[in-house]
Amino acid sequence: MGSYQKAIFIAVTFLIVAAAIAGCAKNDKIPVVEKEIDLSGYKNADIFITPQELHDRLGQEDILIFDANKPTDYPKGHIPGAVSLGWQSFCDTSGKIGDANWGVTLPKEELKEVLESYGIDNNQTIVFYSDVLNGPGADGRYVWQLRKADLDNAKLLYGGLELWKALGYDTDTEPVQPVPATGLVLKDYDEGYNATKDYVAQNLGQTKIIDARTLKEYEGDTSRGEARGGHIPDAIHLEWKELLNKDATPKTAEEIIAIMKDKGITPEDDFVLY
Amino acid sequence: MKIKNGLFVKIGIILVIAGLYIFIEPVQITVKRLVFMFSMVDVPTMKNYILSFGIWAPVVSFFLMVFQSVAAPLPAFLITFANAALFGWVKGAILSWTSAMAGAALCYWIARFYGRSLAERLVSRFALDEVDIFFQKHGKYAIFIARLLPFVSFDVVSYGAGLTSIGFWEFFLATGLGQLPATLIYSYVGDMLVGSVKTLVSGLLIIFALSALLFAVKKSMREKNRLPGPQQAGGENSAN
Repeated sequence: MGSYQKAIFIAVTFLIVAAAIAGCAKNDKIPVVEKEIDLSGYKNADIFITPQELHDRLGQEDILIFDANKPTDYPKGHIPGAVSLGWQSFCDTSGKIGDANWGVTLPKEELKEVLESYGIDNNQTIVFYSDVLNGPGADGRYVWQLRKADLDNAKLLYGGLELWKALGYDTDTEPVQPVPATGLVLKDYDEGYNATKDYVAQNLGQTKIIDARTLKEYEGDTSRGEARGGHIPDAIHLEWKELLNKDATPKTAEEIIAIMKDKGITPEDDFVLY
Repeated sequence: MKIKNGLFVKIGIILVIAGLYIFIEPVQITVKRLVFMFSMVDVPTMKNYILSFGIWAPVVSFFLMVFQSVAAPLPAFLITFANAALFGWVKGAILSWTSAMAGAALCYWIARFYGRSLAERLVSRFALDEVDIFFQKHGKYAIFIARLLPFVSFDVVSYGAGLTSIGFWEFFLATGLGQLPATLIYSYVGDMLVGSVKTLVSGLLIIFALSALLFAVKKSMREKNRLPGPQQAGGENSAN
């Protein structure tokens, strides 16, 4: 081997190694989508936190993450630092399952104690997520419960655990324990977030009602032990999945408005969901 | 003729149970709700449920434990924790222990009476095969060891045992002794701090340590008397 050839050989080897290292480094980062998520089309876009932002803020002290998947799915992989909640942690489950009001949001004082035991105070950004496409949307329910008590820093992870994983971000299998906090201040619940049974009964035929369950449930399935099958009279069926893309992200505002329009509902309408 | 009568009884019992479930709506609703509640894996919810029966709470707890035994995938520790929180850890442990024994005995008899095909339906074929291998490997001690190991399904072992030649009283004794440490630890932990995963984990670790120790002792014992070892016992296990 002449010295010229040797030099080329070394150079080529160096290039290959460098390329390999660069390739690996890239793989460690984000293999699929790198584009920024644009939330500007949504009217209440502040309910979302993007996976990119969450990833950047991972490990910071002003952010709390909660896993709303089934407790049995949590150990299979959760976002690092996330605490498991199941679906009922902020609900009143006293009495028997199936009793009236079993599973509604805890009263304010009790909710405050529970939230504090999970380390929630008024300064934290509180992120909830789940495997969105598996349902039943306990993450959304948590955001709703906290915002009802004026914790507007409660956020839903855009695209859920599915998009998080698709972006190549890490998950963890070790359980995480919450660190309790004190001094949380909650406001009286904003009743605009609720429609009581009486309200619905009185406004039957006037207020539009959307049944967001599966078609089977809408048509009378009782496989979860419902006392009676079926739906509220005149309820419109719009399954929750219909507003989601296949990658677990929500459809665009325009798409959602179009879908709702097909069901006879405009953004100006008052309507009740269940 | 005798076989025919036996068959009638077997089919009859299944039909009665299926009939109760299908035609009596409250039964069906209750079962579905119980399954849903168990799937929440939440001790406070279980506690509230049992508590809501007032004076009948211990009885309901007993039947819940038997129910979760027969429906194998449902987790028993929920009831054990709830019992401890409701009745104190000593009484809770006694209740959990007795009801789990009743449940185990029922599973054993179901498997013995109906044989493998039904047991497979109630648990899963895969799980049952695994238990078979376990029984073949450890012979007589299998049940005792299985009861100590927190990750071996209690109910699948009960069904599996009913399919082997192991006698009922031998099974019952091994079960009673084997599940004692786990019941005590779960009850003690459950009484101190309901829902705290940290203590649960340490409890699990203690059980695991104890079982590992026993495992080691057993293994060394087996190596000592290698010659009359349990290999021959393997063939006779596939009852039915």
